[in-house]
Amino acid sequence: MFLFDIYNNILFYLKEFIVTTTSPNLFIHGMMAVFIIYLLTKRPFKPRQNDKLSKAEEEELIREWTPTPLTPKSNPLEVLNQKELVIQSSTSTHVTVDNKELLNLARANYLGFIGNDEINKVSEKTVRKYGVGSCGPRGFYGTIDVHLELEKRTAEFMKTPETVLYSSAYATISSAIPSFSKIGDIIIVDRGVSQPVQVGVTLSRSRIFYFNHNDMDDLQRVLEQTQFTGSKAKIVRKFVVIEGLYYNSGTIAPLPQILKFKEQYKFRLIMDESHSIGVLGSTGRGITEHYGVDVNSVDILTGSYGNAFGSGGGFCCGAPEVVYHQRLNGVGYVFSASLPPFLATSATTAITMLDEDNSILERLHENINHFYKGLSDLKGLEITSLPISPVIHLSLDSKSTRNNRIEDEMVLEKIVNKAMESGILLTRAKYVAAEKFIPKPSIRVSVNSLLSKEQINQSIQIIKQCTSSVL
Amino acid sequence: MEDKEDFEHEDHVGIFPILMLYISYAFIIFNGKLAEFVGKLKGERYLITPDGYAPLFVEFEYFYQRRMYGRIKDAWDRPINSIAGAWINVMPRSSKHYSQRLELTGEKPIRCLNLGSYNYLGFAQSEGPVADKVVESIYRYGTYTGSTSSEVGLSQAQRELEQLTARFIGKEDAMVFEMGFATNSGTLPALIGKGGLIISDSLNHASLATGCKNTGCKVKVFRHNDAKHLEEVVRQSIIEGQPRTRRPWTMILIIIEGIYSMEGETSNLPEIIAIKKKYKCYLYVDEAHSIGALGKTGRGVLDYYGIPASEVDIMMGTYTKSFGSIGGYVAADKSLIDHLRQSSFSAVYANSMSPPCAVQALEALRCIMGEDGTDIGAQKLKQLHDNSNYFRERIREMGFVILGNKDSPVIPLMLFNPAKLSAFSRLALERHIAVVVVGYPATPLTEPRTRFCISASHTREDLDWACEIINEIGDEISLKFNKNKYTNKLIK
Repeated sequence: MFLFDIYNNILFYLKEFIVTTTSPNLFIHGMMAVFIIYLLTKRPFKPRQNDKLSKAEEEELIREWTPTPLTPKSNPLEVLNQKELVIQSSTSTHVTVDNKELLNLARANYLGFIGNDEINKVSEKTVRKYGVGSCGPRGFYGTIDVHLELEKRTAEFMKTPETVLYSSAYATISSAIPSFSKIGDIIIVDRGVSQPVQVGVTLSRSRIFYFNHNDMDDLQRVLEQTQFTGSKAKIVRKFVVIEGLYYNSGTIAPLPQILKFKEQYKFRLIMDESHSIGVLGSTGRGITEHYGVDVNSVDILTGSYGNAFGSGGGFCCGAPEVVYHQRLNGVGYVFSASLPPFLATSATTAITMLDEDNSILERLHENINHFYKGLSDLKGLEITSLPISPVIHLSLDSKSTRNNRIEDEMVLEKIVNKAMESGILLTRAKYVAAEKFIPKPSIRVSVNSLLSKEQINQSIQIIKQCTSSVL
Repeated sequence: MEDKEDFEHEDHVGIFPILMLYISYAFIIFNGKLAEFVGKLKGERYLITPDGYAPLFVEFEYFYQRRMYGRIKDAWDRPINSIAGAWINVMPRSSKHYSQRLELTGEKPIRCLNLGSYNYLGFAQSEGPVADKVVESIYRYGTYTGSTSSEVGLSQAQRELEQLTARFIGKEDAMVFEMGFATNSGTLPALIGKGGLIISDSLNHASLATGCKNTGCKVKVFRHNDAKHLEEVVRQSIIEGQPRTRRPWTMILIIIEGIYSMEGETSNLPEIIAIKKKYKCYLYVDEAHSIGALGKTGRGVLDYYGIPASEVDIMMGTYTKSFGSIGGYVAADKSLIDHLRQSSFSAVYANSMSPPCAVQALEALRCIMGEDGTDIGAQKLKQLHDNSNYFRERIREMGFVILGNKDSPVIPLMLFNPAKLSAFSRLALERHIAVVVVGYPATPLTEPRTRFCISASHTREDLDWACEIINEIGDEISLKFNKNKYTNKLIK
């Protein structure tokens, strides 16, 4: 009964509804109902899944793609750097360019071993025994007894347990860093390092932090910032990368302070001594001797035979496991042909000669001193390097600078050219335009131990004259 | 090339060698771990790290060094005390325990036939006109330049070498670097930068990989020598553009090698050039092993296929191998070389080539080109090809699995087992043959091999004698995986 009542009621109201509503109203309501149903049932908006490009579209994309030319537009610095000098012959002090003999103040021949008679004779003998190339990497019969001898001699000279020999100084540091520092590790680098070090740092793919050149407060700030405690400290390797003598600025690293930090913050120290070995210190052992600290407190120390010892190649010395690790993991060591034997013997001879006769080193120190004193009252140019560095950087002082890199470089180029007319070989420091921290434009004078006092005085005179005539 | 088909190697050596390979690796690792465990119980400590420092090496690297590589390390780094010519003096070494370093014993060196050095044309000489010129140059220039070629280190010898190399290769200009490794690793970043794409062969040399890493741009890899896969990668890359931003790539650089040093194979150049042209990519060919060794006139892989140099954008090679010197070159259009001279890291920051090395390369090149007025160069080339083909055929007939193409002086012989690496090398040394064996990481883990490098200075008797001995060793440690297959082929 009850159900029947409800049924009747609904029927009644429905009848009422239809009768009382007018037909247009019904139509509107009907439309609304349909619309609501449509809204409810409609699929939410999605882009079409199947938007794969058709073959024709792909072809079009490929046709449209135009690569940039392989040779980019040369930038003004490149154009400026294009001038080349071809050396026709050279002695230990002079270089012949365009049939004109010039006094060498540009090649890094700090101890005068390039062109040294004794070294030339040793080289000749080696070529007569071993030929020129070694025809293979160290692993594949490219290890010749003279390489082992040089490694031993270098380790003795540096007073480190072992040494590994690379066939190019450029590849030494740029292989040594990535062989230790891997993805996830931390590298803290001085902003003033030269490009080979920079390359090594980039190749490691580690997390890189920079500190201002030789600024110990800034280094401490970065060290604080990267300090881990607990389990992370046991996994993440931390390296600080510096140069002994900065080639780009002629300054030296404050090593004792950095070693103090090393004890405090527990990092490993990588130091490139390409330009300080054979130059700094009373017997030429480099910056560690200069400061009187133990060379073995530097974990990974690299150097070059190319600057003081007048031969090719580079080396890395350190603890036996550090060296042994590079013999398997240093890409520039494993995958490159070994150093030509005659360069190995000439480097060995040079090291022995330096060890036997310290007077060449003393003369170098005197010459550097003399040069600095002579150049100190130079007008228009200022010396930005330290008075113990064999590379002297001369850059335009605040009065004569044009505040424009290209113009400054052009002025320096003019000075260099004038100096060459007057018989001395100088060079601007050249950099790749893409370098990250490109140093100030400068003329780089390389002092060597063979220069006589008269030659130095004369060169200083010429530099002064050329500068004043150009500025 | 029709010849190529004949020399295509058969990969299917059956499941057994591969299975044994994995078992031996497992055994070596297990054995090593056990030794390490026993050592620890005894109280030995291996990775000593000062307090508060992270260990300097990854633990497995150190384990690999001590327990795996350490066991067979006498197969590498063998010192010699003679010129790296056809015959060399290998100095004996020994150590008390495999985990200790090898020391020279000071005994009389072992006179060995050299099947390891890259002395393809036999220019590793201490006598003769080339060596005389080198000695002369020592007194003219000194041993080194002490400066970069962009500053004041460019010697006359280096300039002449650049010009002659450009002429030899058929490019407008060339530039020369101190070291072959640095040629690749320093030049690539100057060629291509952000927004560019490098497509590299999967078996490219480490120097190319280093250079690619250094560019900071995206690197894709295609299957070794597989032109079809290369085309797929190129198409896909152009269509998709750069990741995330979807911008089109600024340029695409394909990097291949002339002869792959671990495979002995020449690259599939004609097909790759067709793809390069079709898709407007640039091509970089590393001819470290092929220059001076392949082709009738020694102009490398292009000469081999008869392709003009204009088809390849950048040609790179080294003077280490066929020329008996050191260093490398890059040859291209003049405008590009002018750009590279100012922007290649290796040109601006690495010292220039040592002048005597430049003279060695220059005189060797003159000899190859016949510009010294003799036909010594042509004879050497012919001798090299004859030697390589003869040796390859002889050892193939014996049933070894051999890789590589005709004329290629690099002849790898597959060993398929890490234990056989050292066994082969030691047995060969005992019988006075110096061979190179290569395993991981230079090759894939599953493909240890020994690699013969043939030289023009080997005589036929040398090679016959070597073949006999290799045959003996092959029987002794059962390396003739291809034996049945080869005889079957002959019957067919």
